[in-house]
Amino acid sequence: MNKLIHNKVNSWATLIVLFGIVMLTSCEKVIDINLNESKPRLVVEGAITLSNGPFFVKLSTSGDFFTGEGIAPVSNATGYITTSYGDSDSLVNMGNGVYRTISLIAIPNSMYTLHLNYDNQNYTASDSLPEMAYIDSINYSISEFGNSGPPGDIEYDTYFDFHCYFDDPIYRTNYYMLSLSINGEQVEGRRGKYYLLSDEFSNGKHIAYPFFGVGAYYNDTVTISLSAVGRATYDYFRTLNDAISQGGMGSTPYNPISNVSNNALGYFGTFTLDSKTLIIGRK
Amino acid sequence: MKTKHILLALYIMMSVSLLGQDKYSISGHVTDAATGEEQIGATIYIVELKSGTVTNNYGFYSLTLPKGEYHIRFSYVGYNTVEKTINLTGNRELSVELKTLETSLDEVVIKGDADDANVRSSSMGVVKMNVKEITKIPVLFGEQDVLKTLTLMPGISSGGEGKGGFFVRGGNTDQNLILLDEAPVYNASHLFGFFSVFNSDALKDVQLYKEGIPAEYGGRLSSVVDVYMNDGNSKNYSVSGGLGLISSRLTLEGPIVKNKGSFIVSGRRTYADLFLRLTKKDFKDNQLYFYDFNAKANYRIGKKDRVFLSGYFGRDKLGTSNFGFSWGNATGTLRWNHIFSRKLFSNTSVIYSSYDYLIKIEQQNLKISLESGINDWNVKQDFTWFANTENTLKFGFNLIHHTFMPGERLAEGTSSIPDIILERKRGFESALYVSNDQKIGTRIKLNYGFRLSMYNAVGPGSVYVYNSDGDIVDETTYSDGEIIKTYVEPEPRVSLSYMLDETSSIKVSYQRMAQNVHLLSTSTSDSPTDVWVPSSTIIKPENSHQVSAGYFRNFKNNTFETYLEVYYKTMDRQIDFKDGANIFLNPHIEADLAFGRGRSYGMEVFAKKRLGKFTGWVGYTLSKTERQFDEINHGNWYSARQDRTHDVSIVAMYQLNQRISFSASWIYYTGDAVTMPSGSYVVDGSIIPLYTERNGYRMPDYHRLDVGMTFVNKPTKKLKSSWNFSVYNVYARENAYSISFQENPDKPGTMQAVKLYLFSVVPSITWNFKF
Repeated sequence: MNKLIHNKVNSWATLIVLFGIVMLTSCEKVIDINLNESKPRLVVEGAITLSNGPFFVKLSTSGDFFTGEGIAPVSNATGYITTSYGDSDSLVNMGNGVYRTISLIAIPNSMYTLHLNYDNQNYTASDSLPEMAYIDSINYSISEFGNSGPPGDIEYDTYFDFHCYFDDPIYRTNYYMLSLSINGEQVEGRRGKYYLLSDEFSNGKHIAYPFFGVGAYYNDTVTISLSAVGRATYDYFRTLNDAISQGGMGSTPYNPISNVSNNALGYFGTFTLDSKTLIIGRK
Repeated sequence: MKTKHILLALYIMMSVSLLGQDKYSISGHVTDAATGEEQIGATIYIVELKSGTVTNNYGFYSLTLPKGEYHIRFSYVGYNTVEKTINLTGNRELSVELKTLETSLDEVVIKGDADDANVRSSSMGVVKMNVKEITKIPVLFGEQDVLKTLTLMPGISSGGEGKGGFFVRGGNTDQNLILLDEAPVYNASHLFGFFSVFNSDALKDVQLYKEGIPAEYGGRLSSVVDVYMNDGNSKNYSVSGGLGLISSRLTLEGPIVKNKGSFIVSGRRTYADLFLRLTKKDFKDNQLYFYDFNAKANYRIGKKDRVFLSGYFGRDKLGTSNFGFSWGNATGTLRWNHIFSRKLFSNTSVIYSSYDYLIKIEQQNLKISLESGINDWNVKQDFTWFANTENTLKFGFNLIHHTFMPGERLAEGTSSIPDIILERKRGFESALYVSNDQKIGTRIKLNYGFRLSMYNAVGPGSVYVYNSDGDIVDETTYSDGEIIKTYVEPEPRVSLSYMLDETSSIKVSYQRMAQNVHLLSTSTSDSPTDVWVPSSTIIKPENSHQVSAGYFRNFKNNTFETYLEVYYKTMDRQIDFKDGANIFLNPHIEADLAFGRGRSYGMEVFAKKRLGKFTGWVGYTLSKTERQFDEINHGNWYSARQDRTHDVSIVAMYQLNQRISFSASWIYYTGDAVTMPSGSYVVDGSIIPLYTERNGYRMPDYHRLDVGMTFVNKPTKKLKSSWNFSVYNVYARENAYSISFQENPDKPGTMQAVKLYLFSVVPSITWNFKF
């Protein structure tokens, strides 16, 4: 909801700029800017999901901002994963920057730590795998928010509000990541790519997570998924949302908060996964 | 202990000059002959003594002189000087009315004689603007704006087009204390900074202090902008106003009882949205406007007492049929001036001030509201003791009760949106001060003072202790009225001027300031949703030290005024956010704050031609402003956004004849320091920018030329009117509002930089009238 209000405020801030555009002659123009070069840095994308494995870690390097030159898979790293219950598993290099575990099995309420060695540098990253979170039910209704979306949207049959209902356990702070896809296509949030929630204001409650104003057609198949995620994972994707949506306005931009040490980028995350599907019928 | 020593020192310094022969005092008010408005800072000059004083903020002055005959000159910028000869044989009252110069220009040249206040006065770094003076400077949409005009002076720089606020000597925008009839104004911007909340029609006088800030002021680190509203014409009724392209203004004023009391009401509203509605169909249900309303009344009760009641209310409104966003300030001031004796003047004020914003979303049965704000009650007592010709003492106290409402979100008709009510915070901000304006011989002027300020954070409330991860490790609950935390800050201030000769002086000053209310903003520009927070167990009072020195010189019988100043300022306990902080409805916002320090130093050069047909000024600032936070930029010093190496303003006005005048202003400043990416990488299929340092890049330099022309219609008996034409950004400089990066449509997979600029050439026309 914060997101929705924020998004409204932001779009109105944009409208102020538009006010200039309508009244006057303001506009956008492509310009040349010289940006400094930066040394290539290691980018980690790894996840432990609540399953029997295998688990994958993807490694790459950063590159030039304008051209992307230098962004490439890292295929000469070595690594292993350790757990808080004393287990350990090494990573097998599958080529093209992809590495996988051999025998590791995910157990809730455990800490997983990734250890990497690349270019004579050591990197570590860890997060705790939460307990399984189950979706109670999902539903939809015709939205009141959709029609206030930005002009130029594709004309859908109409806009819908979807809700995902689930119970939040009372015992600690829980973090969630949700997603919604229509006919297999993931729908991005209006303010960011990822839908995230912490139970700070709804600890121990029956939560109704809303997806407001989503454009869709009748007979579309809608899948909503719910993941309980580790805290570091939540912080990474929350700030990654900002990094993706950062335009010229707003806050001072920054790198997403990574849990990987030694100045590396990316994340090593922990997820559970549950999902439910419905078909939008005519009412 | 410290205070005691200072008082003792004061007493000793004072007593030296208290010895002497028979002395009598002259006191009174200096007013405008046409309207009865009191003049703030009018000069009273004793020819025989080559010395004098100025009127205080209520137009009152008092002088104590030995028995004898004197020639006394009363002068004020833009008014004819009046000279009175008196034979002082006892205490007496002498009030004077001054006539405006506007009718005869030639007189300007002749009558500007004793106006060398900038060289003589001990105060440095004071920018004084008579509101009448600024009306000819060209502005955006023809909308006169005192705050915008102040940014044309050295050391004061604009927040940027459409960004709101202003920076004084490297300070942040929340470090300026903006007072309207003594009431703090928490957000002085309308429409994201395109306009300020000050409607020039309702204003009398504006003073900005950037150094040597007198001890009577406190609470912000960088500057004080003291704005006084007109008292209203105490002689005749009048209606004045203006019709402009995007706004109109109307002012009504007149006597309540002739020469005893008067009132003024003034309003302004923009109507840009009405135009938008006409031109764009989509805009039909949308609102986009602001309004201001100022009102003031005053009444004299006998010779010694006068009461003033003034208020301001203004609001911005944006909205669609189901969405509303509004914000604004409200202030109220009740003042009582009392003259205890010819030497002791007192002012007592009770002040209310508030700022809030409200967002509303309404959809059939769903209603959501979001609110945040700050609310003050303030009692102020100021005494001015005109002890003798050499010493004028000011002392008093101030007590403010703050209530902070960090944010509340309420939803009706849904269970998926929980209500969030962040705990309100209360605090008392108090201060005691004493200061003295002292003359030593004919060459030295000294102003020294001491302010002892205190902040008490008061319950009810919960106080948390956080670890480095931002987790709560301890919680304490306080009951109603219980003191949570107390901070005491000593704030010494001193400034000295030494006259080298009749036309030049050197001045030095030192000040320490403290600040207990802080504006949290994650945005790089000011936004109406920024939140004011008080000092607490975690947020310590911000404080600053500043030293400055300057050389002042006037030329050609005070036709030209020049100065060169240098300053060095340090700021401690500055506040910023850790990366990824969420300020929106976050009860644990304090865990997301980072604390650091700042420094700013620079040189300011100013030259002004005050008199003649051709007037204007050139101001130049060379400066450096930096910040250092352990959590930001690997702990290294980095440029603050407002670090503008070069800042130039040129203002020129030419009075062709009595009816036509031309004006032009040109500004230039180094582009703001900004953060831009130095690389990129891919996560989950998205291209993510990589940042390596804070504010390591620069926006393109900003510059712009504006021109204006004022044409005064032939006045009739009833109506005086004029046309103002102005052109903003004459040579259509496309100044960047922001630079963003997006995928290059011609070369997928590569990025390009795109600048957004707001204004090209903007012409405007305004018709002003008075009858």
